[in-house]
Amino acid sequence: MSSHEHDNQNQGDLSIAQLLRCAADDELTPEQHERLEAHLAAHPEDRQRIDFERLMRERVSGVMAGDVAPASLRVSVEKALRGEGDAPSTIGGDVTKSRSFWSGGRGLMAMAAIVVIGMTLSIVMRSTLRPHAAPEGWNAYGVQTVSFIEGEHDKCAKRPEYLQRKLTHTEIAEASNWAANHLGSLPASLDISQMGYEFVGLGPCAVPGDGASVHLLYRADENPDQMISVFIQKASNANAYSEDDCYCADEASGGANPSFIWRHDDLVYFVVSPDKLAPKPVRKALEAPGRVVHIS
Amino acid sequence: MDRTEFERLALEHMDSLHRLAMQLTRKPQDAADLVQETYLRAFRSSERYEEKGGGIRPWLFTILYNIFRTNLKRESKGPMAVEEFFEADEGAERPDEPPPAWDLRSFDWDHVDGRLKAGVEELKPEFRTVLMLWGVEGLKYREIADILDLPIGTVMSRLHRARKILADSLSDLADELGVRAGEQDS
Repeated sequence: MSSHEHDNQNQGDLSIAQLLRCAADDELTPEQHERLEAHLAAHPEDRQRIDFERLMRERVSGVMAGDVAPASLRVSVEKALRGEGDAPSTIGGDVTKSRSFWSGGRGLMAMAAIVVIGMTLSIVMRSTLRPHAAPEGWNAYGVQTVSFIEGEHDKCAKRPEYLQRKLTHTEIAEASNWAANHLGSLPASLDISQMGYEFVGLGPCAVPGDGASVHLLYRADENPDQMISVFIQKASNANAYSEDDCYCADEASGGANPSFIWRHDDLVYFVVSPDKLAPKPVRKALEAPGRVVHIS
Repeated sequence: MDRTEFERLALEHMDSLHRLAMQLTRKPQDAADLVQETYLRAFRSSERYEEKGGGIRPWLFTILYNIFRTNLKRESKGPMAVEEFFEADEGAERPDEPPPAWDLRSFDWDHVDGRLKAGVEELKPEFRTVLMLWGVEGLKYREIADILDLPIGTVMSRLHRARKILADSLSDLADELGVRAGEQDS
């Protein structure tokens, strides 16, 4: 007897309780349905048992639904997926740690390497960046961060296929909601169209550091070839910048283009502005402090 | 399906995958690792994915469960642990159950969830897994059977027994609350 035949036999042998549960689940065969109707004709009170089973399913769903996947998991999975192909996001970040229970596989080995790099960067950051102090001694972490965001900006600005793959949220309202959910708090208004910049797209990113991050790209109305990138990262102890200053990293501090960095509430903003774009009104729209401190 | 579209579709189901992983592993870190490994493998196998009408979610569940099963066997100290999880006694033919004897109309379901949750936690893992795929994810018996690589009769048996256990726990609660008003035995 095949397993299928065995299955069918089992279904044919349903007890009344099983029959009623299958009825509640809409899983009856035509034959079973006939049997059910005959049973209910003799025992109409059993309709209530079907109702009860439906109610039970609703309640079971409610108590077992649980929490959504943690944001950190979402970030690490997205990083891992991008690390599988030609993609960014393989430096730094809060990657799920590999454990012996799930040991094995090249992907996890790669993830382990990412963890080591991330932890190293985190230690460097904690030892050098202090609240209420300019990021003195713009160190390896700072250079790495600027290099990363510039690299991501260039890829998205110059490679349409990369942009399409990374910045998948292209409607500003939906993107804002997604970012708020991803970051755990609501960023400043992301619509800077009044400043002359059209929103292109938003997607998850992996700015070095502990917090989740996103990347937004805008295109200048006056010149579609000119784009600016905004990276927003959940603040952590590692990037506890002063909220009083907007830091500017330029050629002198390791960047090929000026990058502005500031903290507002529990989010850290990074703006890459080739050709010295990102004028003051744009930074203001994104709630940057007025005072700019150049990092040397 | 291109890679971007595949990734988008797959990531939509992370909450569901995480839920199943938590049910299976019971440990947040292990669940996270399991979900991550599932996505990596799905991504590598994306070219083999074929839409068969049920969407990508059952396919992802299957990958997750297979990884879990493989890891469990690898990590198991002895054969019994795996045996207990996958080969639980399904029981033979049982007499029919009495219907719930308490009056649903007078039962305050707001009091039920705590007891129901405790009841779910006490279920055997194999029952809990089937219950979650059925109750939360809304899968059909056949889909659950395919994911767990079980005969559909086994899925039905586990599901019925789990529901019976939960109904019994609610019946006890009804006794405690004094709402066993109706005599409805058939």
